[in-house]
Amino acid sequence: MSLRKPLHWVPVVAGTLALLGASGCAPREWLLPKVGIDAPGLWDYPADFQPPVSNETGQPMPGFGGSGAPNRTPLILIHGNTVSAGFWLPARKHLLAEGYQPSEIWAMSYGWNNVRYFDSNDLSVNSVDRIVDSVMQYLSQQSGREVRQVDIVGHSLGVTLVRQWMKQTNSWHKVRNFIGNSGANHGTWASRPDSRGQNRVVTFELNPQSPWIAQLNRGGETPGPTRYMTLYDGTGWADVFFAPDQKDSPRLEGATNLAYNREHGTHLDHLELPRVPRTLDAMVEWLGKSNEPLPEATPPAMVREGNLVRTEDADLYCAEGGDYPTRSVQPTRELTLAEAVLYTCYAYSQRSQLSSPMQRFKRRDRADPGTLTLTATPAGGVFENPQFVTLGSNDPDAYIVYSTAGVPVDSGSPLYQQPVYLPGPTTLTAMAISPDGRRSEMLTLAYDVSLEKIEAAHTLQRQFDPGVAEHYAGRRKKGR
Amino acid sequence: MPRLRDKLSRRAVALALGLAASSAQAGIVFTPHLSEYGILPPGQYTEFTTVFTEIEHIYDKQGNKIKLGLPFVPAGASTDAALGLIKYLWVGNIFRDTNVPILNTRPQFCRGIGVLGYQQNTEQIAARTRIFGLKPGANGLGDVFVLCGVYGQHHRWGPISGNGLLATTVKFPVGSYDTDAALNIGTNYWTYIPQFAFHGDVAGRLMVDGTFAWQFNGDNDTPSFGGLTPTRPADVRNAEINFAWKWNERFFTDVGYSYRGSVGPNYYDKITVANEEPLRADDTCKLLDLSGPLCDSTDRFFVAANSPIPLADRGVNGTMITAGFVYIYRTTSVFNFRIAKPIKGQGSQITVPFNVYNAIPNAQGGYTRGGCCVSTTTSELYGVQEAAAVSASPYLELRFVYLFWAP
Repeated sequence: MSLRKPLHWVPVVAGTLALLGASGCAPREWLLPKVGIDAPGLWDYPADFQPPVSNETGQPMPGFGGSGAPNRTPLILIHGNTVSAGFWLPARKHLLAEGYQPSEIWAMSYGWNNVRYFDSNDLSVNSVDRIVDSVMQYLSQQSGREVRQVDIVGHSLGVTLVRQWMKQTNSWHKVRNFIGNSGANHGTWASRPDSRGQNRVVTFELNPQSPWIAQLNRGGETPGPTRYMTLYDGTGWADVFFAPDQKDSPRLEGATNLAYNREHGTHLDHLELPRVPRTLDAMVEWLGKSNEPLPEATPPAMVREGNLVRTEDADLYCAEGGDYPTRSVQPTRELTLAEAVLYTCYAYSQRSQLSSPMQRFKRRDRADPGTLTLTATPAGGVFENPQFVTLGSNDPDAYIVYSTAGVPVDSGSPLYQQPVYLPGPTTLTAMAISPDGRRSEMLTLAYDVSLEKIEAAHTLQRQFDPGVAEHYAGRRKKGR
Repeated sequence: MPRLRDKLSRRAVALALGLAASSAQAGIVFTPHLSEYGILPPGQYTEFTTVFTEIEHIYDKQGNKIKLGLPFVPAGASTDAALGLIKYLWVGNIFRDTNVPILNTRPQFCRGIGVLGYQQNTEQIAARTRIFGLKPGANGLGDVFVLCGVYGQHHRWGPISGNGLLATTVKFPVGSYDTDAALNIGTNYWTYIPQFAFHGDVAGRLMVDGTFAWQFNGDNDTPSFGGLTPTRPADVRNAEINFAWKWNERFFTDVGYSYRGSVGPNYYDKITVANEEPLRADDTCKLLDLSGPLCDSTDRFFVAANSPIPLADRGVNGTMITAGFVYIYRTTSVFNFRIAKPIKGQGSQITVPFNVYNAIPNAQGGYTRGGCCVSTTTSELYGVQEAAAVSASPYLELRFVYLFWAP
């Protein structure tokens, strides 16, 4: 055998490596539009469905769904980090075989699907908000009636992401069932609090000692009317993200917790657990134990009359202090507010199976005509590192609510109890609410916790001349 | 006297060429590490591997382990080699979300491997090498390996899960290569290597990586070291397997087994071994502890290979075991320390016919080769370098893998 030694392979190899390098370095969703090419994606939507735009990529989210009126509560699948909606195709196939209709299964790619740009919880909360709203709106049009609830299955990052979305946007009432598959609800060893680099935001969020994890679980791990299930490894060996000393990290207090491998003697790994037939069957069985909401029904509402909170044709589920009520608290028809106690409540109707958003109540015995003010320290800005934001009101009786999703806040938004931890670029909204119902003006503050800031501050020029201006416009690049 | 001269000349030739260049390059591509063939997360990985070896023993054609250079140089001579491998790995799926069948659901990967090498013989061998006008070592850039492949689907059978992969490697012979060198970093022949590999995981604790590869070697039209690198290196079968035990999320230990064996013989078509300076009989006698009339004379002689037909060896093969440990730092870096120990092998040896010439003093104070020939003889010579020599000495490997952009 003789192989000759031509040199024309040089440009071929160089070109191939350059192509691979470029495709590996930059997300296609960013790279290809630059040269006028649409990035390929999974576009298996009904023709009349308008996919929402991702908060991270700025592009419509690829994914799948179906047209027609759903016969059951639609199921939305939220993928994990560095994958896309395509991750759920095996699950979709199985669920269709189990009797689901195409209009009842949805998934969208909310992130970059690229390790060059890791997704993070806080950067993706708005995307999940748009996914849920777009599906409910579309199916409402398809069915001619209001679709008010969805079921959600999240995997990995998708678990903490959905929980954060429900919390930051007070959306528990929109989620009938939530299944958290292999989520780092109590952190993962693979995340470290001292990570560097542009992908560090998610590790700041998900390391076991993270203040972000603490805020996610503060007030209860299974709030609201939502039914919760977790499904995870449980052995400490099969799922690489949950070592033996963290094997129950995905577990949620108050949920139906299924440590699948531990209980079934199986060895399914991180990517198998959410989408093999046996676990999908377990999830479908659990989902099937829920009643469907009453068609045409409207959600219950809570009415406050003085220091009495009541609801009609529904039960009140309330918790005191900073805790959230869960499905397991003793329901009441009405609640008399006690002095100096902050209540968090939702209303749930057994008849319609619908519930209200979360609201807070505090007894008021006097009216104060003063203006309620709210301050934040720091009050927005550009930062190299995660920030703790301290909020304060001029009324010590007032409580403060906030949201790191940048959405308008209401009394059911997360309760300010400790300085708010911002691991990444965030728009923080906050409001103080006094017992007598007065509300401060809503603060909307931008915190650009940004790698570019670090890069600008550490340029070689700055090392030689510390007085030189940082070449940073305060604008975060996409995905960082 | 002719008999003794024949004996001396034969041994002298064998001495000068009784060397083996490091064959560490054979392990560049096919040495599986922890999860080497598992479906890795999409991304870009860099890998830096250093290989250190002191080749004091090689295998002969009978599979005997012999000391390098003996009986012609004292024990302790060696070929010292340090290789630096720079690897870049890309994993992704450029066909994701397209309609390209098979590939749209199976990630692809490409890997480029560059080699930096330092290989030198110790002094006694170097001195003998120079007698034949050859360079005792070589440093510089090695050949470039480029491979691309596609992962198979992930499967599970109870506690066992795994995947296969198919890949093809092309070795570009761009490394430094000197026909006058006893050791070379480059090989000077193309190689095309289809490869099947698999990764298995047993209960999340035991990782198994294995491969089988067939190495199609091209011809080397300009052999080095007097033609003792094969002009037609045989194709080579590679089979390796590695078992890694997970102690916890950061520590692993691993053991492995590897085999490489040629398919048929290596051929040597251009053997031109000859000494440029005549060999001194008395030096050789002293070295070999011999006595006799020749040893009292000042006779010198030239020898030159004279093979009318291509020569072939019996093929080569080598088997080694490896053991090491792995430490994973954060999610970005893997540190790997490993020792490889040859346990069995067979090197290349060929019987080369030589003409022996008188060395005639000339007017310049040197020697001129006389007419052919005072004698003929044969010598059992070792094939050298990557395709022919099989080291029987252990090597040490230090490996560092870094994943770009992992937090």
